[in-house]
Amino acid sequence: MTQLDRLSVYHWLNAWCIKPVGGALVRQEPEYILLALMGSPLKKIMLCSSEKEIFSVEEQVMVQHSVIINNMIEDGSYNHEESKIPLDCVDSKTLKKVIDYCTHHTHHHNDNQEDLEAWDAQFLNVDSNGLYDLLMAANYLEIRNLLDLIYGTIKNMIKGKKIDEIRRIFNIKDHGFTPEEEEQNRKEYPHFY
Amino acid sequence: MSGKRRRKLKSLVDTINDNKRLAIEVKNENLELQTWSDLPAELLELILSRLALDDNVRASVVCKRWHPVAIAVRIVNQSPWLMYFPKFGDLYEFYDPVQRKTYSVELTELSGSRVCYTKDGWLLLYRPRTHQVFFFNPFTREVIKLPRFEMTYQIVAFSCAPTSPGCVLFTVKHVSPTIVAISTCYPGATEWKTVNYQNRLPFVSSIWNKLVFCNGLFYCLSLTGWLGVFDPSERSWSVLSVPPPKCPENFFAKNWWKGKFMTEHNGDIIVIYTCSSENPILFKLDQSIMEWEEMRTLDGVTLFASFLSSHSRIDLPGMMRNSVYFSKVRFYGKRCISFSVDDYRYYPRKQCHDWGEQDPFENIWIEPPKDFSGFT
Repeated sequence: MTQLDRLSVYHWLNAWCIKPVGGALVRQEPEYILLALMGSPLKKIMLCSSEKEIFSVEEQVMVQHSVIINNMIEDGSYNHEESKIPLDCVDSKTLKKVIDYCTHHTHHHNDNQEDLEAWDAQFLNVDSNGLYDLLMAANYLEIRNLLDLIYGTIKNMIKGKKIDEIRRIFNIKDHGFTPEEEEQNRKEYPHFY
Repeated sequence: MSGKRRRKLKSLVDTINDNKRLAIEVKNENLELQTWSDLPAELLELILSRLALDDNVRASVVCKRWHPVAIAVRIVNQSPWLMYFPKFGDLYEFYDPVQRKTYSVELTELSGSRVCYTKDGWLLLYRPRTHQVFFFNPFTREVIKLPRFEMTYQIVAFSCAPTSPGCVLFTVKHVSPTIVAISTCYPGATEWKTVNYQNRLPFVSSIWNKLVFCNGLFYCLSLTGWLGVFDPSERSWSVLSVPPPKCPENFFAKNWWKGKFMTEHNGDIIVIYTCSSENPILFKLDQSIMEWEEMRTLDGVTLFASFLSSHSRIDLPGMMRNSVYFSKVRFYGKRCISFSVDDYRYYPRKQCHDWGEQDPFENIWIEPPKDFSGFT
């Protein structure tokens, strides 16, 4: 077995938390095991961004996180030699970040909760435009963990803030209310403004 | 929150074509500057449904597009929280089943005491060593003392928040099968008042009895399933001639009298009978015919069951309706064990839910005040 193969196998075992301990499997998570049986550790897949840039990613990494990609692979019609998956609504910058997220979480699955949370916080340290793109990409690819993470971040961006500040944070230049409606809102909830 | 949606497996070609269509739709929107106010409605729903009530209101006035979505997902009612009492120390935890979050707060006011009952966000506590009885509000940290009373082996309830007028405390102890000693008190009283009452039907009190205040009356369910009723204004007591709820034979396994819960909703008394090998059975007291009838549906209501005190709630997030939430949280503090009356199963699937074996003083469902934004 080459060095590369051994490393892949290590990642494979590590990522799917299959540790034989006295014959028993430790830390089984059914979704991961199911996805694991679908994917293969050494295979790579090609993802194509809206800017026609190709990204090569371990199949098992994307299959574990993205329901859409998992379904595509599961279907069996993805040809590893020729096919690439076109993701026309995800630009290169965002796609790279999404791949980053999935790869990290696959390879660092066994890290303790605090380290993972710290990494996630760092990962989402982006401006609201970047966050918007990530949200759209995660939604499109159906990456549940990333979506949950982003929802939590958005929740914190709203929590306890004044309305004008929320509009500023989310780049909402035109709130869409008529002057009368806006005045009514301010009257009804003065403490939010 | 919307339920799980399953995607059908499509061929790669179809998927790509669908994606192309979606991409074109998104591309057209890309022509204008992408703004958060233009989020697709289903995403907005998912995001806004996670907000606490006051943040939901904030979101509704941020921009016009968010307004109807925020209103649609707004939870009118605050769900009860599960309050944990530590065996050592002063760190208390509160679990919110809607946000699936746990809060911790240090409450030194409660040392040496054990919980007796809760209603309207207030706790009634008792210190067995000193017989001290007092009210405590963990959200405002207010303490209201009461006269001392020996009630180590009795259950006690109260009618409403001690800050509301007409708050009455009630406890009952049997002297003989046909005589009970009922003790009452109220905030500001100098002592507890104890009076003996007779009941025609036999009634036995125990720490396994369940109490609830409903329609101005205290209802007490004995461990054999008979219901005693006390009217605090008339000062009258009787045991209703309503035979106990009918359960199947296998319900009467070991400790059959233990796993019961009682609450009220809209003036109806609701009782939950549990058995470790079976699904729970819900009964409602039909006062017109004086019979317990089995409830097959909860009609949108959510019940929260804990040993000493249980609650009912309407207008909670869709997923929580028609369920009974028990006082146990699994999965590293994320998921509360609940029983869905519609699906007729536990979530998560039962390993062994023996509610009779729970420690009565370990935790209790408590109602936080509306718009409570958190412990400071």
